[in-house]
Amino acid sequence: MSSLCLQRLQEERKKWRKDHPFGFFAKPTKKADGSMNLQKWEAGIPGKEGTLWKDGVYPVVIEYPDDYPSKPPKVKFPAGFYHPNIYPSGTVCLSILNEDQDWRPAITLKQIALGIQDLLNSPNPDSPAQEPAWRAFSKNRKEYERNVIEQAKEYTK
Amino acid sequence: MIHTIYGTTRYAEAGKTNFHDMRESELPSAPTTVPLHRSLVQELHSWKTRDLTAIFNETRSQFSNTLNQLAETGLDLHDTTSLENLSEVFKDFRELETQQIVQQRSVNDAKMRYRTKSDELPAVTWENWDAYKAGDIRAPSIAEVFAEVQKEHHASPVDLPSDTLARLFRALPHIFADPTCILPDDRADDDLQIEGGQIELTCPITCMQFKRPMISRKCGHVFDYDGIKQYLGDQPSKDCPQSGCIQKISIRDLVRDELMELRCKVAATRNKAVKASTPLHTV
Repeated sequence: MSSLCLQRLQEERKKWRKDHPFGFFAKPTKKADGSMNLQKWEAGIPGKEGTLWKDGVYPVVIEYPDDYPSKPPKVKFPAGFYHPNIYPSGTVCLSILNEDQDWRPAITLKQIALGIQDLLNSPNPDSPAQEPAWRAFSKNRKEYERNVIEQAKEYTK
Repeated sequence: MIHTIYGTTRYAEAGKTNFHDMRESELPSAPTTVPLHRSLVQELHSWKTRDLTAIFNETRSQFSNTLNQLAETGLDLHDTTSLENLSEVFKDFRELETQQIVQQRSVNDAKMRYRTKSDELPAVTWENWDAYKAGDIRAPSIAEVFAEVQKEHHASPVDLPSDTLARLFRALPHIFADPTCILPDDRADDDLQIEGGQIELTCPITCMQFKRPMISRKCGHVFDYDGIKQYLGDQPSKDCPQSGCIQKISIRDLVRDELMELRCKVAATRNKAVKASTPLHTV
């Protein structure tokens, strides 16, 4: 790991502890030996109030590559997570998390977390990442909404 | 035909022998001015103001050092006298610099104007000698041309280009009051990294306090040298690390950001002052 990556992640942790959006959580995981793994975090993204997603806090794992912040972190929901822009593996498809698109080193954890929260209720039908949620979202909105509400129950606050 | 007549020198030599015997009114007169002879063009060319660039640069770096020392140590937050004094002296210095520029331009313009006027006139011959003497043909006088040019330059004052040091001095009172403040100069520019009306003193790449801030000349975004160097890697240019910025930047687009350096120094000094004045039991 580059020293810049480690330094930056330590600062990200300080910043997050000092100030983060309401209802969110994020913390580095522990390694087998009990020490902190700054390159792998667990976080919770609450669904926005007034949306189908409001009842859940959705767990994600954030993995920072060695060349972070030159390269973006990888954000994953549990495999099979129901959302048009989330791959079957759980990986999030979001332009700010794509090195070839809108990722910039200045983007902070807070911005990523808020970006994902935003994505939950504003899927982008132009970049489908899974079949079931995308098909339902485009063709059968009632079924889609039912499934989203059903999923929220699995991840209640 | 005489080609080498220039000014009055030659006449004085020619008339030397009888000089004492003549009454003033009888002095054989010569034209007050004659056109510049081509053999003297080189001499005209060598007429220049002294090059003071080295002295000015040296003075600038002294100002810069003093400024930094003031930010690091001699900073009394309640007494801004030293700050005001320094600013006064800097103003005088800028005034001198302006004068130097006016002088330099006057000399250059006078040379050109004199030469042009001179070149339009016929060379002095026995045939036109009397016409020159009577003032029917009037050759320019370099002293007069210079006075004229100088007057014109003084009438239209030069605006010194705003350089870093001048900007630092303009920013000083604001930064000493609040190192994270947005400067009045920059308020119209909402493209800067502003959060809650403040300038961040941390690098957006490393998220740490700036150690060696570098500013992009293309977009004005500031990064720490280590962070931006690592981000660019061995690529000639990359997207600006600031999200939403459309500029591509390379290491050549980055210059030392003295304004940010000053902000950080003032902030550090203030922090130290706050810590020192905090009684131990409240820590």
